Amino acid sequence: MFKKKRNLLALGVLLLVTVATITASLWLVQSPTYIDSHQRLLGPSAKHWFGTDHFGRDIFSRVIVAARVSLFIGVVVAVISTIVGTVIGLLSGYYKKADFIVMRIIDGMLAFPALLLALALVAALGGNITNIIIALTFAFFPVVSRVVRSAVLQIRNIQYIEAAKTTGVSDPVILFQYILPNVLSPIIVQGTFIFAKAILAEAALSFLGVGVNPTTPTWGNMLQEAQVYITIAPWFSIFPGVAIVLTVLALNVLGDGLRDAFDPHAPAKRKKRTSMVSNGEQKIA
Amino acid sequence: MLEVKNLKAYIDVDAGVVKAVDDVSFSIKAGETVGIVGESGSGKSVLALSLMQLNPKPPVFYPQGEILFEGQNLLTMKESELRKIRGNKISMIFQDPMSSLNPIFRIEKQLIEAIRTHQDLSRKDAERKAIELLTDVGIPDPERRMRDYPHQFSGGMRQRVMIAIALACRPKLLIADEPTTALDVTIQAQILELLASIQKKYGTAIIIITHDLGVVAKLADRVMVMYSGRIVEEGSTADIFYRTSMPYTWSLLRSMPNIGSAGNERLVPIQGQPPNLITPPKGCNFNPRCLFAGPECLEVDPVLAERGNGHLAACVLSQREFNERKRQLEAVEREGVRG
Repeated sequence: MFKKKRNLLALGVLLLVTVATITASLWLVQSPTYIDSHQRLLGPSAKHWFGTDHFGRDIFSRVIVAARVSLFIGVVVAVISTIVGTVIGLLSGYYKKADFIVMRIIDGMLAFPALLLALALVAALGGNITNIIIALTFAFFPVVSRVVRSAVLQIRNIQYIEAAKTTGVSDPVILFQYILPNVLSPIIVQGTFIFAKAILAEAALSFLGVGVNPTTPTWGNMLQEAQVYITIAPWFSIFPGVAIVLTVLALNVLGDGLRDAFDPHAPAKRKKRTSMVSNGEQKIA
Repeated sequence: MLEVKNLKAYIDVDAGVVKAVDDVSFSIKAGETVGIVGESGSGKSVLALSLMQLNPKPPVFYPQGEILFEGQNLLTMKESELRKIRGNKISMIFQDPMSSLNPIFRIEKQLIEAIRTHQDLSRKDAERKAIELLTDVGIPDPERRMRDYPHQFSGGMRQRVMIAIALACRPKLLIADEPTTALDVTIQAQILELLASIQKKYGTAIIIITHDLGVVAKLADRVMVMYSGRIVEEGSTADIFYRTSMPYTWSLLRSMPNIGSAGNERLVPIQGQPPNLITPPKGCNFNPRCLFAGPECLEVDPVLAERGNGHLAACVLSQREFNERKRQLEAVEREGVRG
């Protein structure tokens, strides 16, 4: 899949953001929390690439450091909700009795828009990183469990599952060794999309003022602070906004690329030069 | 070795209870090959899965009967004990070899897993055994082919791999559910030969389930004909083919092309549909489609009765009456063709 420029570019953007934010303390010239009241709301310049905010803090430093919180929340939410959703989806796809009850509960959760559900939960629990992760996980795992369940329903009726049963394999082994590997591709694709959605959702929550503590720089917090100055200091809103757009776009492109790579029915033109069959074999082997 | 007594397997559906297997009794001796023949929906597959206790419960339930395997009743056995039998003492091969193997694992892993589920062997020993099995089922160059994925095998080769997996623990009984239906004819013959040779080598009893009478004629020592969830005729293969005693079996044979015939012989299909198993017809289940049905057939539900030397049939007509009616009918049909 990385033969395609678009996918390679997306991966590059993500790696750049990740590496930049992790190593930020080693190379950032100005601390993201350093306040200089003489340098307030300055436009982009050689000294302050992205300009400064209403406290005279360097926006470039803040955008880079803010990525830490945003990516951290994104990764953790993606991983936890994928795992929780997968386990629930596997069990309810495989055990018909559990299926009915579990899926009605999931239906109930899906009835709320994800962001609204997260908003309500954070408002109830209080805004800190742990609670945001909990809230977003609750908002996103029902979707995963639905996707996994439908994949399991398909796989469980294929003969090799029945064939496995006739060799005396137990249910847990069938679930995790036979069915799970066969439904892994939609799970991975969902995971990347949730990563992107979680970053957006975190920004939205912070923007609405129920997110991460305002003293911590996050992209959402920065946008929230910037909205007052949008007419006199547009760079204050633009740069955190662009950071969000780039990261989320890169994740979505990557998710699309993964989906195409896993899809056996994708158009053959993607598989370059070599014939379809031999290429398919190489990929799997 | 296997004895089925008055087995009933019913399926609970919205419209009522389907009597998929209705009061079936038979027994199978070690090393024997038994064919179960019948059209779609006659209960063959439900019967086969009952022997493995792999019918989904619900909707399938067993209101009556016993399945005694080596003296133990499989119907009352715990799931954990059943797992020790499945694949170890009784194993099964399926109709569609294209979907019977897990597409994402090399067949090596699938074979070794089947071996190690029931046998306490090291990886090395299991691997050696896997190679031995693949050689037995006629896969050339097994050391290399083991490392291939299922999609790299043809249908016939996959069925051979399935047979190797089924034989991994040298089962006492092999259930083959339409093992050749999805294969083309030359491959069918090879697979049947393979099953026959394996039986000779391993002494496995085989139950072969099929709607193809040719398969049965080639392999089976004994044949059971199923219709609407019941066994309607049972006997040696010669009995079934040459001393047919039940109109349904006779109709089945007539609906098959015959290589030995002159070539101008017409195939005679069986009219109508298999009966609704929720509300089966009154009297004999076959009476709506039977060419010889008389008033008695609407009243009496015939049971399997001895026709001599282990040959059983469920029909109100005696052997002599049946032969007489057959002759009459064939005479009339010949007239019809000539006129």
